[in-house]
Amino acid sequence: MNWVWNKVSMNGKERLKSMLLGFLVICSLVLGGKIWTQKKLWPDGYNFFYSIKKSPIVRRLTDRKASPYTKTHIALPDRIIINTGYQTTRFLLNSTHEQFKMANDIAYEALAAAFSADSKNISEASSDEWYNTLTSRSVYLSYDINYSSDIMPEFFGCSGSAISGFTDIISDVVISGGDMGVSVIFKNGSSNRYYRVNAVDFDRSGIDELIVYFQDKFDENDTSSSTIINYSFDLLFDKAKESQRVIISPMVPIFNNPVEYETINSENPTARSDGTHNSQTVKELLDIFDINSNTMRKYTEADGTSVFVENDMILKLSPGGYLTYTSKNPQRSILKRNAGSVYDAVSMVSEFTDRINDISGSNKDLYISSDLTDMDYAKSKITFDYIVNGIPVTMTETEHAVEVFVENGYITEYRQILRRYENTSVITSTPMYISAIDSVSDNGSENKYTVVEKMYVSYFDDLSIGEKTADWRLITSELERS
Amino acid sequence: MNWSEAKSILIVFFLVINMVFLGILIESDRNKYNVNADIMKASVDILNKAQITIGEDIIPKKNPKMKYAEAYNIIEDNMIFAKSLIGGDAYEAEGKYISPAGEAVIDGDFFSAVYYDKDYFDIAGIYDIENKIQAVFKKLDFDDMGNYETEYEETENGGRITIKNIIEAKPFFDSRIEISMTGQSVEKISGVWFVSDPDMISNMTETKSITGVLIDFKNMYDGELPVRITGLNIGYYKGKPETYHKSFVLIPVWCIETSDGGVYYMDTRRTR
Repeated sequence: MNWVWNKVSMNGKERLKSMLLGFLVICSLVLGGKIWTQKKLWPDGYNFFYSIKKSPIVRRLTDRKASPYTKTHIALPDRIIINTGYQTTRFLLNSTHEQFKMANDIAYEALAAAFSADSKNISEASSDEWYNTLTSRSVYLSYDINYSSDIMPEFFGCSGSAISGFTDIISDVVISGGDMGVSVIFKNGSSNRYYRVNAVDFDRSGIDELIVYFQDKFDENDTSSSTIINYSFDLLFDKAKESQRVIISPMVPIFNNPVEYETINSENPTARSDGTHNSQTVKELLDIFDINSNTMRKYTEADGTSVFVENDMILKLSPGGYLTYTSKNPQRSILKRNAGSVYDAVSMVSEFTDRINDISGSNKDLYISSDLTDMDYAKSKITFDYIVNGIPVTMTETEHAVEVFVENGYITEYRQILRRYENTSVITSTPMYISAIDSVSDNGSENKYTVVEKMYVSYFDDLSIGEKTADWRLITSELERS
Repeated sequence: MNWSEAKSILIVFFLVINMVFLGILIESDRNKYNVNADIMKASVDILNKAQITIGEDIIPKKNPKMKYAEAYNIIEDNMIFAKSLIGGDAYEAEGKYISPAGEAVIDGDFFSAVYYDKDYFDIAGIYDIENKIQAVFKKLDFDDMGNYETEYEETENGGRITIKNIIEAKPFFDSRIEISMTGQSVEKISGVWFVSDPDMISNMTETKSITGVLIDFKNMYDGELPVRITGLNIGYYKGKPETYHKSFVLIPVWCIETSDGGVYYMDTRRTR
């Protein structure tokens, strides 16, 4: 060994020594680091690195950020109708139309201005004013649900709006250019009364330009588009006639042409090809529902539903993608904090749903389908449904895609059909609207009118996996013939 | 001193440091699962103050590691299982299954069959307990029943064979089958049985310290005092036999037996 060492040149020896020293320094750093961070030697809470990892700041930085789709769509209209002033031509936009965002952004600013207006700029309007505004140059915003006038302004950044002193419910809205600023008429769909707000300081040019844009589209003779509609009241379909069996509510849009749409494929995003659940997805779902995978009980029911139980919480995930969570302890919150108000609860629940969708790979597009009126902070139910290509998805086997029960700001029950919808590139059309009207007419009774309260195109999902098509969905009631 | 000499000194220094670090880690790893004698003594003192006594001979010296196991119920479908218990001509009536051979009840995970036909299981000439069990399992189409231990006990009319489920060399406390015999005939079979899935068994995982488990027991015990802990065994537990479970992730538990006949199952999983 000495002989070998002697044979190596001076430079070679120094190089070897340097390499050996470098190696030993690295080893001591690695071994020292292992000892320093080993939990056995540093009880939880005293380990500097462990404490940093668990600190709120680091967790906030490393927590997965969910797309805030549901939350930002709570106060989004399901459709915007541009009234050009020509009674026979109106343009219907849903969220998939190119111009929808532009129109919604302008409408949002106008509504925010209206909600901020003084009470002296608010007055009750007549139904004639409502319909006259619709037949002139204006923008109509149709909402899926009714809003409490206390809650809706909060989604536009306003609290304590003067409008709540005039009406407790907001159902639909029409915006038009006023003498000064814009005029916004709110409709209370429950009482059928109307309230005009003059947002005198708001620049009406945005609304005017929007309407002119669509007026120019009409001038291009583009009459084949399924965006062109009439209201029922334009065609007098809302009037009761002796010879008719069906009355169509005045604001129901009547399509001149069949509506084209793309068929979709429905799949369970949590299922693997062998029928088991994606284990990473399950792990993340357990985490978001605050179930400790180290102390929970896990078992499978007869139908293959995986059940996770920890103390007073039960989480179930069926092979078909039905997720349910129940907590018997109403004080145990899976939201980041207790919601302090109804608005707070709705916002936080929608954020929570966005996180579930993100983790599970479910369709991100959801709209709120439960009325935000008369919500009892002590106990309330909030529902959401999927929307694909701007077309809502109607679940035929359950009431809604997402149902959340909230008590005093805490989620006590959460149910969701986890679904991912993919476009198939197959374009087809709905039947003409008249055939849908005929079908309700045929099923109606002789002594009563069938009133079509709502009529729109919807995908229908029976919870099976595979192709889904769209058809007309009608929501009807009956009216005695006088 | 020149740089070359300094390097030589640093090499020796870091060699010593690394040896020390390595020694700490090896020693820590070796003693990781040992129960600290002082902590154990303190725990026993706490138990004694609460009028719970425990013999030092039954306290383990090491905290064992356990595997997490998922096990499957041998009952996949009640009717199919009933037919395997009492014959293919079984039918359902009044909440139980009936055939000429006998009747069976399936309640959640628990099954029970009583045999009218004393010759249903042809085991009269079989004297070895294990062979008797294999003959019974064969008749019932119970194929792969996993590992088990058996106990035989003479009774007034014949005997009782208890088949205790073993998962990864540990007892599965609430999974067992009992075969009651009258003479050489099977009178009744009952029990709960799960078979572990070899693909769903984790690596060895650390368990909660036995001292912590004993303190937890002291906090939850609400029976008569004073009491003595007479048995302390680690194994698996499922619970809730009245509810059907198609499969179950078994919970590693310490089974604590007490002098008043009580049996308690303490979850031994680490919380985080």
